[in-house]
Amino acid sequence: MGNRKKRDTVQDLLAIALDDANLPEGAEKRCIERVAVETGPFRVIPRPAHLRPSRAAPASLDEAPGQQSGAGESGTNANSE
Amino acid sequence: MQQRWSDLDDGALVEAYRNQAADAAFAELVRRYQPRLFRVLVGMVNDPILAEELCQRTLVKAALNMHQLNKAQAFYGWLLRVARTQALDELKHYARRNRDPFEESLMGTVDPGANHTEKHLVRAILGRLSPDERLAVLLADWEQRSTEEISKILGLKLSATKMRITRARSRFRAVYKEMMAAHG
Repeated sequence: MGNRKKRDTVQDLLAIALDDANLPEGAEKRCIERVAVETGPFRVIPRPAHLRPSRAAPASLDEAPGQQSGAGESGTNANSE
Repeated sequence: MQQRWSDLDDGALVEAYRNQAADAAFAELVRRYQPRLFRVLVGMVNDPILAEELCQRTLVKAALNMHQLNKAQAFYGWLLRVARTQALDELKHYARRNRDPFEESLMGTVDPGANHTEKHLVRAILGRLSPDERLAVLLADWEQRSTEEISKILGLKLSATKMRITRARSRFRAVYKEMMAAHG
């Protein structure tokens, strides 16, 4: 471990560990794009658990296909909150 | 005259994003703070790829919850608080899978044939601290934040924060001495 830097303080040691920790190329653009996507109008908002359609078996065999049993509401509008 | 976002202070940028949904204002905050945040997160998780991911998650979370920020000027301190939560969650996932993001650095220090550097040695020391001790040292000695700011970020009282910083520094120095003694 030649070429040692001065390391009298915790600060000096941290400088050794982190001085060359630079953001990878393109990181800024990637971040700005992700923020735009995840905060934009088409983002998918996870529905709270109590509003998700129940996975339980239909209460009756007469229940029409697509109908949900249990407390959940039908899940056609995933983006509404 | 076109507004130059880079001329505005954090408070003005936060207000512009909150009130006018100005994406360019948030982009300026990203440019301003992502590199600093990234270094803190590298110190926390010892992995640049994961640190970039955590930076992104932190900034997305910040953008979505900007309305919760009371004092717009204190944006970066608030961002660090969000980043802490993100990093601690990720480290818990690692722990559950019995993985240690600092393992590579630690391996480098015990294998005499490995091409380890001082950088890896010091990162390995950080890995021997608890995540909150690590963050305390990074905020106090790398970011040079005040004890008051650190107490807000860590969610501790001032006296507990002072104690956390003192203990973290002393443990950092002790592990450093131990490792230096082991490596001559």
